[in-house]
Amino acid sequence: MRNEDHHCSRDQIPTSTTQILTGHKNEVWFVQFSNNGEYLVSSSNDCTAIIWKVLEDGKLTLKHTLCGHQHAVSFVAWSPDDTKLLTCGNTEVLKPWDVETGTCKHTFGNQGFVVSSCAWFPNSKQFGCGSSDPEKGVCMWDCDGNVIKSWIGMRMPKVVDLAVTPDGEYLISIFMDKEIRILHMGTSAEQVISEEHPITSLSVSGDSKFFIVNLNSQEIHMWDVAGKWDKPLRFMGHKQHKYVIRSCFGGLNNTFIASGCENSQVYIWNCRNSRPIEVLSGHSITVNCVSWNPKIPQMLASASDDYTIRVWGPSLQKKEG
Amino acid sequence: MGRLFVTHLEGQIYTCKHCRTHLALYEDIVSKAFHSRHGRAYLFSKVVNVTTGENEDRQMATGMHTVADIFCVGCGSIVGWKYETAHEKSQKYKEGKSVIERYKVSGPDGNNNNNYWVGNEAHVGGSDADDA
Repeated sequence: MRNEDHHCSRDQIPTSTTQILTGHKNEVWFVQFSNNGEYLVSSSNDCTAIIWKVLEDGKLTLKHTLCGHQHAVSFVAWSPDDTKLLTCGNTEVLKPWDVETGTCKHTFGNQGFVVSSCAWFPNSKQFGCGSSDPEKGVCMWDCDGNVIKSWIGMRMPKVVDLAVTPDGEYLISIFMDKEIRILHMGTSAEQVISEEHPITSLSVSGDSKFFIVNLNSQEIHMWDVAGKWDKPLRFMGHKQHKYVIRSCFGGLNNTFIASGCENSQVYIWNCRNSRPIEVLSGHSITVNCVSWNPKIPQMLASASDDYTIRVWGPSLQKKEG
Repeated sequence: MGRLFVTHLEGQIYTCKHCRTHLALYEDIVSKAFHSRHGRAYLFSKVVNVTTGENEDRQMATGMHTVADIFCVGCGSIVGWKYETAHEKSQKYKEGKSVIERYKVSGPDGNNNNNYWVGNEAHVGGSDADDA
């Protein structure tokens, strides 16, 4: 029965390259599908982000190139309603963009507030961002540039990554001192989870119940948002030591995890097993980030230092009959 | 060269002389009396933002050690070596610790050694001679 289940699920797992996107002129550091699955955004060391449109036949085509950053664009966040994007320059500023027109109206941050990460709240009108300056902490802003709330405290550690659960109930922050802080937005109650190794990135599940972190000890840990687990689920087999590598939930029933890797491959795990079930080859160098299409469980995108984005789908040759 | 994940230190920091990546803290110095063929060096209990090379056996002034060169994660230059195994009992305290050569770093005790060839990366092999 298990083998049969695995075999069935394998037909739904992306294992082959279906398209190679070559719009960027330098390393591609980030990639993420929109919540409705109709767009993909990518961002690069060429200081641009690109919005790609997912067509009916599953192919992607370039819709907008977003220019304006002076540094590598290291992070992008889709608003929950998919009408806006936030692009984060690498230790630089934050820019909100209109997805339909590809235009930017404001720039947030300056020399006094160097943004390291950002996340939207469910209303698609407010967002939080973390700073790499320990004096600044985490701030909540609206799209007009007004600071709504701050969690500055006394000498907060530098913020590495930030996320808001899709239900809007929790703000999860990753700090340079290897701590994960889960803040309940309503009650301001806070839980702290300590890791033993530096944490490079954070990703929350679509049902708001779990999150995963990439560690530079070459492990991915899954924790529950409610904070009841004593120990994380661990996933390993990939290589990560020097770079920021990102992973994500996805696939059928969101029961899979995919991650980039420093050895040019994409790794896929079933959440029930700490060893990968698929290792995808094709990129020629480090894969920095992966994203699973939330509406098409068989579609995965990966961003690489080889300047390309690969779109992956099931291998047709493996289907029987 | 993807997006490096670099650990930032606070306090009295030793940084790479070439690219200013943080490498170690003053408080983690175990000894300042180490030497390499390029001059004086520090022994640190802990270093960050380095990659480790291959293990190799090296005859040091204090005996045979298994060491690995360490390289700055930011610019790739060699900055010292890490002791993996000390073969003599009296040297066991070094295991897991790292030597960083003074001329490779800028730091709180203001080393101004400009007499060394910064471009000379032909590192045949370090050696040490600590307190006798």
